[in-house]
Parts: sequence; structure tokens; C-alpha cells
Amino acid sequence: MSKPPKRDERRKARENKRYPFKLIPVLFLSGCSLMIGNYDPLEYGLVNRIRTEAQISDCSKQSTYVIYVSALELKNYSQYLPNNDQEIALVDDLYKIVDQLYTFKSPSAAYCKAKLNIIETTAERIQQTTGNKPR
Amino acid sequence: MNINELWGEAKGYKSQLDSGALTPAEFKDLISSLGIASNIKENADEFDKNIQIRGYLIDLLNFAETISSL
Repeated sequence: MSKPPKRDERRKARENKRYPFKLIPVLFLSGCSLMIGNYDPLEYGLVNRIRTEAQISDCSKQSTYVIYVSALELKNYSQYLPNNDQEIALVDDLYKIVDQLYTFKSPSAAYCKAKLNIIETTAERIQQTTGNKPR
Repeated sequence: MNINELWGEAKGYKSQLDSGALTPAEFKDLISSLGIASNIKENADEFDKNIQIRGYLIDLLNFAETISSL
């Protein structure tokens, strides 16, 4: 006839039964962090470059071409980064705005200045999003 | 860009249109860019908090569509 389990053994047995449930929040949280994606310094740098180029542009065709090339480079770079859906959408929007400026025929000075201001603001907003990603 | 900044920009463009500094096509393009920049549809909740400005902005977008098609 076996002895009844001691109090410590009964407690350990109870804890072992609960162990899988303790893992659920851990697995959930680690899964969430995987969905967000990590900070990418190159992506952040490309956005920063566009913002800076918009700040110093003199509205010449050459300077708008430089911004266009950077926006296309950022769009291509971000396109297949995993867990990056939010940034891909923002980067696509930024590319559209830059493309509109670059392809606009005979833009006025007022239009170009306003457009550059929108590009700068949009790039800054993307920087805020990408800069807040976990490192 | 929050809704008040957005509205300020839109009013500025309208003034420049009225003064002739912007063409109707440029005005339409800029209003449309503001929409992209602020993700109007995605941020509907924020816009719902200020229904009056949202209404003005939609009117302005419609106005931009109309004058650029003339």
C-alpha cells in the first residue's frame, strides 16, 4: 500500500498541471512582437533622406528627380520586408505624392512649395512610426 | 498632420487658388495629396470628432474635383 503524497508533492503536481496555461500569455506576447517587425535602420534612413531632400529642394527639375529616385528606392526596399504592412502603405502614399510632383507638367512655385511641405510632413510621420519599432 | 493643421493647409490652398497663384489642376492635386497625407478614410474616427471641419473638407474635395474638370 503506497503512502499518500506529501503536501509539497501535491503542490508541485498542481503547479505542473497549470504550467501550460502559464505559457499562453508568454506565447501570445512573443507572437505579437513578431507581427510588428523590428526597427530597420536602412528604412528609417531612406525616409530621413527624402525628408531632408524635400527641405532643401529648390523646386528645380533636378531636385525633384533626386527626391523621386529616393522615394522609389524606399518603396522598392520596403515592399518585401516581413511584418511591415503599415509602413508599406505609408511608403506607397509617400511615393504617390512624390511621383505627382515629379510628373506634374510646368508646376508653379506655389504648387511646388506646398507639395514639398506635404512630402516633408508625410516623411516625418513615417519616421515617427518606423522609429518607434522595437530594436 | 492633425485635423486642424489639415484644415489650415486646405484654406491656404483655397486662398492661393483665389489669388491665381495656383491653377485649378494644382489645387486639386494638393487637396488630393492632403487626403493621402492624412489618411482621411483610415482616420475617420478623428474626423468624426470634428464633424464640421470634416464636412468643409469634403466640400473642398468636391469643389476641387468640379473646378479641375471645367
